[in-house]
Amino acid sequence: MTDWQTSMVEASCAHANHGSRVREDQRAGRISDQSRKRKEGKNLELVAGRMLDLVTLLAIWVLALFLIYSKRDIWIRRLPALDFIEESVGRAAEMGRPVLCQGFGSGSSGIQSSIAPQIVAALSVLGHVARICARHGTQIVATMASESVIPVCDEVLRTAYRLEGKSEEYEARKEEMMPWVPNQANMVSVIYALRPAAQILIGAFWHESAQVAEAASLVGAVQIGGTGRLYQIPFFAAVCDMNLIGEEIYAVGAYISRTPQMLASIATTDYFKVISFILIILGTILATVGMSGPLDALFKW
Amino acid sequence: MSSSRRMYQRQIPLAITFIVGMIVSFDWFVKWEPLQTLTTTLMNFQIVMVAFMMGFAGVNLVYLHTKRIQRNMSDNKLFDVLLSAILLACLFIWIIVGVGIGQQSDLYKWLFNTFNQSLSATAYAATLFYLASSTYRVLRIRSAETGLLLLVGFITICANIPLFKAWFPILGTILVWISDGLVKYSYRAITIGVGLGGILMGVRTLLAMETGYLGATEE
Repeated sequence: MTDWQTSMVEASCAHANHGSRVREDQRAGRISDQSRKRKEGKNLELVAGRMLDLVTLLAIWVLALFLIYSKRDIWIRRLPALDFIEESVGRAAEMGRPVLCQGFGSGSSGIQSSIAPQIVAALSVLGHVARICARHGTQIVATMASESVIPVCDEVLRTAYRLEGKSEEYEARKEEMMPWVPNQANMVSVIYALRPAAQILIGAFWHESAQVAEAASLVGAVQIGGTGRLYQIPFFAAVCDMNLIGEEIYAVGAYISRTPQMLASIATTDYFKVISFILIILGTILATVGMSGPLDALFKW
Repeated sequence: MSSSRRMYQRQIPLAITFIVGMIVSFDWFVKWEPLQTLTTTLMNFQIVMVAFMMGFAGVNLVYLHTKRIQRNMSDNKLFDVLLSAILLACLFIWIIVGVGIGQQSDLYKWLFNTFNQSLSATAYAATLFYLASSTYRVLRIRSAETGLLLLVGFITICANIPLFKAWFPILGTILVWISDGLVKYSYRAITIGVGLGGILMGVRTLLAMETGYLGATEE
């Protein structure tokens, strides 16, 4: 038998087998499952188990947009740590020592990773601090740990100095303002080399938080610390003079700019905190009386 | 800033952020093949960009330290020259061994275990001394809050010493109450706040209200 004859026989056998399989499937009632699987992904479907997440996210969007465009007067409480920035920069100016900003990612965790919101918050603070430093003529040093943050920080510092009319000063000292500091040993060595008068640690930190904060304390720097990373908060609380705890670092942009739109988004967070609080109380009561079924079902929706 | 430059530097990146952000967000909730393909393509594009950025950073590092060596040689700062030379040598050795021979090779593993791992372990171990120093400073009564902190710290330390625990069994119960009660609930409260804050930061970023990632703040 030639090759083409062999392939024809194989093809006809396969066709016959396929026909018999289909008939078996039809008899067993499996055909609907098969066609459903084939169609899966072709039609738009909502992923099961993520409905509550979707509804919550949409509710946050709706409330945020409503508050932003309703242009209400929104009061935001004082954040002493941010008010302390101007004071610490003034101290640095008097002492003739630099202000050190650290916390823009670590190693491979840069602006493209899950810590991006914290880096964006840190960049808001950097822009604010850089403007004050440019105004007072204080040296600012912002250490970079991740290559993805370098161009962004460059732009933040350039913008800050341009807004204060000191672009030339920035271009002349750019290299020493942004040292590449890939790990905690370098961060500590920068502190001992520069002996800053103030250190601002806002962003994502790992175990280096204790080393960096304590090293700056030992050289007599005043410090403002803030992170969204849960297990590093106690280190900052213990060592730093002023702290931003948890979500406070996300409020920095709004607190500095004070625009009604930004403040409205902070108010949205607070509304949802109240909802979370009510759900916690409700959940506790229902679990205590043994009726947590509906709430469990809601969370699995 | 001229309007065309503003357009390139601000409006276009903001529009890209909004579109890409919405696509990637909805991919989490929706199962739809075209959307999944698009998200995968966008993610791959991001990997390519980061890889390019890393390569570019490497080239920049070589350029910067070559210039620094030249400048320090003329200023006779030989120690600084040595440090820059070590950095460049390490960079080239790792590239040659990693790319040329491979990351699974014995030489690469030897380099990693001998230099990288031991240096990392040393730097990590140094945390202990900084922690001891900071703990000494923290555990002093300056206000009501620090007094409370000192009390809790004292109980925690005592409860972790087996002899004290044997003498005063109640210390173990107090420690469990502190760690499983107060600490856990405080952490959960902070986690809820951080989560909500992160979501709202995302909303602000997509609505072009938070432009820190573009390097443009307070303008």
